[in-house]
Amino acid sequence: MSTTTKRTLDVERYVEAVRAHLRDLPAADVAELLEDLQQHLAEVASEDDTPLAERLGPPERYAEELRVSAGLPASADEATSRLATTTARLAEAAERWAAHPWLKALRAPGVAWWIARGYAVALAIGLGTSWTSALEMLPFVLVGRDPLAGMVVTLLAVAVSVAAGRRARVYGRPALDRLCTVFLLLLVFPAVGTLRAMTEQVHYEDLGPGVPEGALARPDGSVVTNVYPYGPDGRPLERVLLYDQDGRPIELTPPYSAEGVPMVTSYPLDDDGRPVTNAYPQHQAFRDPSGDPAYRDGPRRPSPDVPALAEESPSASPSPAPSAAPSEAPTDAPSDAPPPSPEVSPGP
Amino acid sequence: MDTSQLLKGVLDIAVLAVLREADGYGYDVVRRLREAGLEEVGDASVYGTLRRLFNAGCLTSYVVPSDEGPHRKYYALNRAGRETLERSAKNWREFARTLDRLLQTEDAR
Repeated sequence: MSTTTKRTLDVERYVEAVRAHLRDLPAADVAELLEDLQQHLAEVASEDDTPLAERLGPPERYAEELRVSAGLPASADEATSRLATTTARLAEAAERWAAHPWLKALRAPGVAWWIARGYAVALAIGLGTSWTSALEMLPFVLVGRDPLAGMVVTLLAVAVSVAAGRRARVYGRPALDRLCTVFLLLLVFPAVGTLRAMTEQVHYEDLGPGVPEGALARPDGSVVTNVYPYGPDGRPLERVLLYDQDGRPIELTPPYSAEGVPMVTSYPLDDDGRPVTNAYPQHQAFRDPSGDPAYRDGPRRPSPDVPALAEESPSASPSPAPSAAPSEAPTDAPSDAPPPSPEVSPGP
Repeated sequence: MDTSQLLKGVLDIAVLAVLREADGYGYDVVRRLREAGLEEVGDASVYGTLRRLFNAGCLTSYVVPSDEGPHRKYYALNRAGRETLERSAKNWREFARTLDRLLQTEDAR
């Protein structure tokens, strides 16, 4: 191989090695920097036959010296320099973000009040559209009973309020502010009430899994499994059909016995042969755990102290009496709703 | 502080000064610097400085075709380069004077 070719190869290899050590820099910068390096090193090589690496030192060191004198960042680890670039870019972006007018607005003094003011206006709108449901759902805003619309309106109102606050520079318009303050203060109590009710509701739902479906549960968690109706004269009644305020039959799920054996209820049948599930008292029996087809007797009929009710005069207005007797006899309907008239099919 | 460290701060001035004398290509500038007495100047440093000064707008470049060897890229000072050199030279002289004074006072003690 001729000296020239050897030299050329040597130069080429050196240049490539230098380029490799500048890998972490943007390609455009590197290209520009190395534009004439081949020529330059060819000049250097032409002076002497000693390989470039000996004369100029290892390509890595050459590359480092080159970066520094050319004003480019010195390479640390490739990874750390990339990390540094990324961090720098993130910091830059964060700064640009923070300088954004909207974020600046949020840092202005008095912003908390602007937000509260916007919320108050949104609440007012919500209450205006549907008084009762909006009041119930405090502190959440409902517009026309729609929580989503309420959220949108709240955001808009807050945005407008903040924008107005920034424009005003002064503390906004005093009259409107005073009005909003009073309004918000008045709503604190119903809001607290709603929150308390909501947490209580949650509490009740926690009892859910333990209560069988279709059952009536007492506040202490125990379950009503049967109803024993008595007439106004104190006589026990049989085959009384019970319906709730919406006209739906009241159904109870048979409970378990002490041994954990489910009870079986035998329902009376109606004219079409279908079981009537809301006839009380229900006749319940235990299924024998040994598999014996015969049933054991169910729970015994209780013997409450049933009072005989006094004669009702039609004009008497219901007033809560301290005694156990209900103020409204079954025949006297409460003022608002008439008793529901469900389809009552005669029993067998 | 050894020469190479001192040199790092003033290589720009040295390169500009060399080019004011006459236009030069990369290796030529290295040679002239070394002949002038800066024996420790690194090849990479000179090359990098030339590129930087060029990008900063202090130099122009032109290619001279050659029969025997490769085409050479020559660098020359432009107006901005000349002005930069004058300014930097002034700063340097003042700096050197101050440092000399300090050293004299120290020596005198």
